[in-house]
Amino acid sequence: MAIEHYFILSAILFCIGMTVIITKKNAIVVLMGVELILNAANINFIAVSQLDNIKLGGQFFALFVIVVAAAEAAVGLAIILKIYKYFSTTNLDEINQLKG
Amino acid sequence: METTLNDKLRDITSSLSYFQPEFVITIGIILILIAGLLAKSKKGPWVQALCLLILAITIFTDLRQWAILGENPQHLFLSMLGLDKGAVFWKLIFGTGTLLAVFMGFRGSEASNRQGEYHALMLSVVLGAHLLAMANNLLMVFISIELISISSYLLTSFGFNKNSTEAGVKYLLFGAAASGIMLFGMSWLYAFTGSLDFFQPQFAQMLMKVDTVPLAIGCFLVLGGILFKISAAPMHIWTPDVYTSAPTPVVAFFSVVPKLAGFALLVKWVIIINLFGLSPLNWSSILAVIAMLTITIGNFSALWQKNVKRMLAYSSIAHSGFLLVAMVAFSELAMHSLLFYAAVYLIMNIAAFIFVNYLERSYGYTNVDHYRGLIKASIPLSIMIIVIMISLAGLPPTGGFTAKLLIFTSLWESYSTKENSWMLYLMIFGLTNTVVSLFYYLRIPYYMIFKAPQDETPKNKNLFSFENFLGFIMVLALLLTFFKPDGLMRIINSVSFAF
Repeated sequence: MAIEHYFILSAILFCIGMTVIITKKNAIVVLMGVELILNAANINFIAVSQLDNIKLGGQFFALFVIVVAAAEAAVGLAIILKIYKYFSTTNLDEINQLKG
Repeated sequence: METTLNDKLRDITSSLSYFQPEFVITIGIILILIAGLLAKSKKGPWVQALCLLILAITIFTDLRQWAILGENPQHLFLSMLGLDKGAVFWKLIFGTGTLLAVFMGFRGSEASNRQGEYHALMLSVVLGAHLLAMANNLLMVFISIELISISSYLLTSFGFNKNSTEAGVKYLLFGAAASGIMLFGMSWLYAFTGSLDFFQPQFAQMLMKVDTVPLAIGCFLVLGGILFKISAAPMHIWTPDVYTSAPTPVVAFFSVVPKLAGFALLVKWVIIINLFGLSPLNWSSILAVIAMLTITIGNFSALWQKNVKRMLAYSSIAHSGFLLVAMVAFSELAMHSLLFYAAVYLIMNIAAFIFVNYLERSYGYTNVDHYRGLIKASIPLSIMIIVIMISLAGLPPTGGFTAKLLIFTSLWESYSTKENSWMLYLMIFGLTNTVVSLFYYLRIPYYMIFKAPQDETPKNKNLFSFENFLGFIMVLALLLTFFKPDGLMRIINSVSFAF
């Protein structure tokens, strides 16, 4: 498979992720959109990494991204759980006490 | 293969001797977590004291690095990190800023059994900032930014109330999206160059072969992530909410450490994307537009604010804009004045938050309205607040004036050599905006002196605490940087930048 296919796939994933982040109202779904963007970047990293066989920088980058994404999801879900405790909803439109 | 492995191992072991501050912080995080568990049932600021001790040792080791480093940058850990005097200066700023923020203490309803977590998270932000100041590799940049961000999301919700959690979730979602976008930009740059070492000349040489449009998209995506961290114009939306609802010591900390860490990265990043001045895009003009937007949005939104912390949030956005002015000018002098401005900004912003915190705790004042007639309660307190506000506005006789003067001088110098008309617009814009900022900064002294107290004269409460003494020293430092800036300037001038 040519490397362009991977780039196109990752661009599509990025666009889907961006659309999800912008249009969806539920905080958890927005976090899912972020995961899509991170994985789009991962595909790019791994696809490019096959071009240099010695260094493997991209593959290691992808591994680190997976670890960081897990940490971010853990923190994110903890905060969203707190939000649910206070607001009884995870709809971002209804979480709007702070203004100005 | 064996020799290369041997070389790599030797490189790693020899790097360790330059890694002392980070080592101290890492061990400190573990110690504080243990101490937090042990001290849970005990009264007294044991964990805070331990955290201060660790930060003091960190600053000491940073100072030792400053002493032993020569002109040439050191490459550590297979050139993942690069240590030069500029990085050490940033690290000293981060250490000092955190030390002052930790002095402010963490009190509140749930504070007694959360001391360990709170201080451990503070230290992990400092660790991220230390690594970011040295990062020479895209992987290192990503990890340190995430280390700063994830700890910051948690610290934001440490108020343990409705507002603080809401600010936390907003910060989290914006921050996660911004770092995702930055990561995607990094993956493009990796695709263009096949290398993650962005500080190598080969990286820039590869970038020069790329077409303008993909190059612009890749650089803009990464720049977006950095602009989020420094809360500059299109990515500033999270700042006011977070600053209003997070605990005040955390806000003082946020306004200095993560923001200046973003600038430490931005300095390197702009050097790279300029491609030795051969970039098809004129980054000076682009940054000039961003700086103008940032200063204007910050200043004009601050005019309407009633809450003091929210006002200071917009003021810190405006200050990001002024720091960006140095990035636009982009010369040796501009970088030195950026470091000077950063040092003065650290002093005046933390001093402002120390007194805001004091008034919030002992009087319950949160709005500008509450400050009416404060001068009748305590004259020394009012004088100190007035000096800080004058310094934030950038008027003499304070360090804020010297810093702004230096930044705009360097911008003027760059304009006369490079003839970029955006620089002239930025200059005019910045100077008129300084006048606008007077309205909201001086509203606090105006309320304190000329308005009658709301119902009764506020009682004079005990002013003698360690924090207020610290604030007093910082006010003196602000005056000192106006009358004798040469001491600080001499230190900064020994920092050299590679262009």
